[in-house]
Amino acid sequence: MAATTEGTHQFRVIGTRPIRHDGVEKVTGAARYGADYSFPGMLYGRVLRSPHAHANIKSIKTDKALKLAGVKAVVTGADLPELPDRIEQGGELPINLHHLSCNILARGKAMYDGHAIAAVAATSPHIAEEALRLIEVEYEVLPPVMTVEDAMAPGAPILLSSLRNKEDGPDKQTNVAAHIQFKRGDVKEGFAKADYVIERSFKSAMVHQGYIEPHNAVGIYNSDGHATIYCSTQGTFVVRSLSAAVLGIPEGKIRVVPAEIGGGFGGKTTIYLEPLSVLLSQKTGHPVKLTMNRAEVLRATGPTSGGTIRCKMGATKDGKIVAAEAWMAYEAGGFPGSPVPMAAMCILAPYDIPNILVDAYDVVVNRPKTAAYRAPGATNAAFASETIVNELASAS
Amino acid sequence: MNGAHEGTPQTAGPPYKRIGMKETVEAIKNSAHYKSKLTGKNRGRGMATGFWFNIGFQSSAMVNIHNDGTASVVTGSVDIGGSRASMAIITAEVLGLDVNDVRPLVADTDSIGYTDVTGGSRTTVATGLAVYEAAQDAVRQLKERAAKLWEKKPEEVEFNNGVLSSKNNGVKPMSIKELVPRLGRTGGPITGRATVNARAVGPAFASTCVDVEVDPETGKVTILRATCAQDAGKAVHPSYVEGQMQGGTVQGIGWALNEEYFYDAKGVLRNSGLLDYRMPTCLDLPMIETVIVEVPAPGHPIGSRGVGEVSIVPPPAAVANAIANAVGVRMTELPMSPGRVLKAILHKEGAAVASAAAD
Repeated sequence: MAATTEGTHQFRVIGTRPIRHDGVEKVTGAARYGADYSFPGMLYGRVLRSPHAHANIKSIKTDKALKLAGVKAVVTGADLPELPDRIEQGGELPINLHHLSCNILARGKAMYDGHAIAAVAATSPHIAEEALRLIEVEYEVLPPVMTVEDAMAPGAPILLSSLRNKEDGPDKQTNVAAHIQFKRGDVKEGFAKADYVIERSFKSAMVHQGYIEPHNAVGIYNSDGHATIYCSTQGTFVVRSLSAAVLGIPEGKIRVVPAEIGGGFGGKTTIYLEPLSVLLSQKTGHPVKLTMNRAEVLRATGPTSGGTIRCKMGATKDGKIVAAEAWMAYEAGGFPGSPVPMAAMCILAPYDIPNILVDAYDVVVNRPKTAAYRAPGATNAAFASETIVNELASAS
Repeated sequence: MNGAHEGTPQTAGPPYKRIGMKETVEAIKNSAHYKSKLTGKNRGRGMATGFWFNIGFQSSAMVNIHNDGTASVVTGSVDIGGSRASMAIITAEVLGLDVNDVRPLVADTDSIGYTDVTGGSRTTVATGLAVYEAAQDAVRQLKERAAKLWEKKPEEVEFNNGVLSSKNNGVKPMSIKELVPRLGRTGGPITGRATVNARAVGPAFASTCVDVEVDPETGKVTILRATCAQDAGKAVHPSYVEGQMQGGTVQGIGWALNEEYFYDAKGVLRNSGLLDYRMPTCLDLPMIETVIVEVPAPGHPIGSRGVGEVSIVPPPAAVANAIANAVGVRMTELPMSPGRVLKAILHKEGAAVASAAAD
């Protein structure tokens, strides 16, 4: 496996291959992952999840669950503060805190199969699981909207009543959270110069990062108002700031301790169980541990978007690509925020093309809210453009 | 002719600085894989190139000099892909220590300054920059202490490979280990610190070449060989760079051939387990071959580019192009599972039969 080196200056240690410092702990099993943390008096939490892809939540009754011996607390969306339903600058990326909070525990509406509805803390995982069955939720089931085509069709059921986009204005309800456009030159003129034009429509499926270690969190709320979260995450400071926002606790009062992490690939850059562990600890006065099983990971954490891409490119006889056009619509999941803005900047990035037009749409559908996955959005984009480039190369 | 290079405008406007797009394509063309001859029925070769921005953002780092002359390096970057080893390597490089004399640690949110996520391929580049600067800060302090002992100015002290010396007046050169016992009386312990918001971030390109065999009876695609060439700028720990390239390639192949969320008509996920959500295993794939390309990122003291992500980008297109090369069908839907590939083959054969009948 040869490496080609160009012009880097000489280093003594950089570029060598020592055994990793954390290697022995890992191969001997001594390394502590998130689910390995335990504390005296610790309770176990479980999350009740929606069996419906799209439903209004008419009522949630928790009294039967609370009466079960060993159950110490049940929380629902009503236990979290309401946050502003607008995009704010959160750290490096804009974020809608209302949507984030609704993804932690649903408010009024279940947006996808697996959406968190309530959480329980009990003296054993089995009692917590049993208690989930005693929570009575009355749903009004609504038609699910699963594809970008269905969500963008005129008259499509509206998934989020308050969602608007700049283009359609403040009065029009929509499932399109954003339309982004990039333009250079004049594609019409460019295609007129082309001897070969290839145009195709592509589809890609929603896929999951597939990290081996499911999500986990242990929350400890102290009576002095400080909280500690032990969890496996890609970003302790993100867990701190987002959990603080969702819980309404000042950021400086939360300490996040990173466990060893069993894979993330972008999927562990946001929060799911972390604020619930603190909320349940706050209610019970005990440390609370929550862990997901595999089905929960796949149903209710953030995979990456599938969607539709139409791509058109034109080249001259001597092989120069003179124009390219792309139309892309990505599934955001139950709340806005697919990686389509980045995909739009990636789809033509390897090439020097004088005339381009890229239109990208972030579309809400009844699927889990997408999260980052390794070069988010770029892989499905390259599937389209690199196929066309290959076809053009064979043609010209 | 078409490949992006320094000066090519990016989609969102500003031109690229020095990038290694064409170099990754050349690396594939020069690889043993590409130069090998692919023979056999229903076999094909495909290639594709992918781009990823990489990000920089904010990181904090501390380098502590211990009483025995070793050091620890503390950051807020969770280690997913071997970053602790890379942070130790960078610290050892600057301090002139053996890499095993540097202990890398990841601290909690109260024990280290703000640090953005381990993601966006930023850790080696941005946290690595903070570590580089924190180690330089420790070196600056070591020089000050030696200057105090030698009654010289700090700028008269040199530091090379862990040894402090001064040209004038013939003082005896001193290692960090020899200086450490004297830290107490020259001002106390030494901790190097740095915080950064890394702006000089080099984008990454990867090119991937894949050989496939398509079973025309079932539509099943078998990966015969795969090679990823990726621009790492400068590989700090080449084994973990190769690991990232192999991991990304495997995930890209899973996305290409198998992985898919199946929802029923009611919108309920029907494959919420790893038996039915089918990721590739070591039984499904050959060893992924790698070629590290090094086109240093301008403005970064080591020249590193983020390496964690871009290798996932080319495989689905490369596999689709290989399938087209093997059996002459253009796949336009992911994943290219046996059913979809078979349908495309049958459709093509049906079209051929229909056109023959029409003749």
